[in-house]
Amino acid sequence: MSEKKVTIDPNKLMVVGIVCGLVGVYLGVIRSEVAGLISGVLAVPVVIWGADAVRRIASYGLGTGVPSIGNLSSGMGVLAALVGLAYQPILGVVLAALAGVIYGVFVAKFKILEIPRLPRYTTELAMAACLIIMCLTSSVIGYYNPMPESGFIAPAENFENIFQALFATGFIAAIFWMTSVSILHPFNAGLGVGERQGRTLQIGIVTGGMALTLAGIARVGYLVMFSPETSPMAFPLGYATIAAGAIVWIVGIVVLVRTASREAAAALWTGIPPKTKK
Amino acid sequence: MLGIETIILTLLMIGIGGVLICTGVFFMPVGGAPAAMSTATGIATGCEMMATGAGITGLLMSAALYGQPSYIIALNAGISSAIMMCVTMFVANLVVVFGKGVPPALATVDRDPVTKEPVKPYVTPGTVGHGVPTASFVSGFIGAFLGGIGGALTFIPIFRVAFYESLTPSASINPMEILGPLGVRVGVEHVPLFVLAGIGALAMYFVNANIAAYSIRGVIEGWWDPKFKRLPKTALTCFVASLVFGTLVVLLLNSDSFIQVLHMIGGGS
Repeated sequence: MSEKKVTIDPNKLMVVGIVCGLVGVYLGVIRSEVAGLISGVLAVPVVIWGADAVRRIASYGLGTGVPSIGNLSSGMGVLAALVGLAYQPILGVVLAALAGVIYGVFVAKFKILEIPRLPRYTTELAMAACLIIMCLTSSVIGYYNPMPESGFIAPAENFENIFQALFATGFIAAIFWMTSVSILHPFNAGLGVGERQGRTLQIGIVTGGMALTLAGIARVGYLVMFSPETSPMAFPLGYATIAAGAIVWIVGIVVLVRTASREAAAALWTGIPPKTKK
Repeated sequence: MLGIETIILTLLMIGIGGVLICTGVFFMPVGGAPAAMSTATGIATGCEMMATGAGITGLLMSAALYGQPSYIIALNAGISSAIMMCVTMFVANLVVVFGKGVPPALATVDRDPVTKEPVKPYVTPGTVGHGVPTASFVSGFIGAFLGGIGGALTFIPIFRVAFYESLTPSASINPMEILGPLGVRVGVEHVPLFVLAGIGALAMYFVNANIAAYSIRGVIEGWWDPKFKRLPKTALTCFVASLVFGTLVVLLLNSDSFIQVLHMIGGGS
């Protein structure tokens, strides 16, 4: 079965997603709060890649709905992301890929889900969710410093920040669900007969902006709740993250509405329904 | 480094938890979207959401009873999940019977496997059953009970290992301490550990419930359904997947930076 013709090659999206995600996580080596903002922004291309992976796997018809795929990917991703943040982010991505391959191979081998090239899809989903969670986490804690003074394991100060910012406040649940929703929503909203890759990925920009906004809110919330010793730029950069998320969100919606009204048969203003008397 | 017995016990509990979650999903009367229109037997939502609901109820109960011995936590988590699922099924039946005026009926069998009443004649032509009949109710009760136990079995080792790591050097953790009652006071500084264990167990829940959901493909009535024969293969897949993701959890619990942070929060008490 040949796949439908797509405007953007999935392999290109995958490369862009992996590169953006890894750059986003490793940007903390500059040890500046600006890195948090940029790594949050770099999560948006990863969201678009994840949305494309969901689009490819869910177009086969799963029998359980698209949301299950999003929850599956964020479930796989969050465990790998925590391991990655504790050791080295690249190790987390490799482990996510490995776990995704094993998951896909076993599910395909026992004919639980008969979809061609299933292991590849589960691998992509796990890696995308892992990278999104790591990027958003480094955005919430300010910056993630992956460079150890000695050895291979990332410094413990990172994990202390993660513990305070995500676990003590409970923001990890918000990040978890936002990752899930940002990956699953584009295809869930766009699916249908006239579904087109470009339009679905434009919804990915919108959900990516939402995820970034949420990371900004979590950043400000963490600063207010714990007031850690940070540079004076911490609060402005937190608000800047929210603003950047809102900009991506609004731009995504404007682009999406334009595309949708151009590709629709007709977009008509029906006026406000008149009030009817009983 | 954790002791090898602790690692094996953690992996075993997570693996058995995964198998129980998968089995629980197979027992539940999943109706999906057709059940919302009363054209299929079961509760009107997908496998995954139902399993997640039962699982989160079980996790809440496990977090509330953190200090008890493991078997009490697991049993209570199962009972709380089962109560939640029974209330759901009862209210769904009220809506179907008194709201829509449709009798609960099964389509795959002639007689109800529990009460032996004839149920097939009540099925409207063109549909595959309605509501939650007695046998589906019993099946759903068993399923939610098993699912809740599975959730608790995933929660307990993650929380207990992380908790004891914050108090003692990780090599000296006695595996029996994971199963027995918690003899140490848990302070407010340990709250992040509950969140960590909760998120880890939730992630495992999604991974396992999805395998079962794909195997069921939408609708299942209970243990008499032909799709129930797929359970052994699916359970084996869930066991393997749980071991893979359990290994990730063990890697996290074993990492030096994580243990250092745990010592920081545990050092105060």
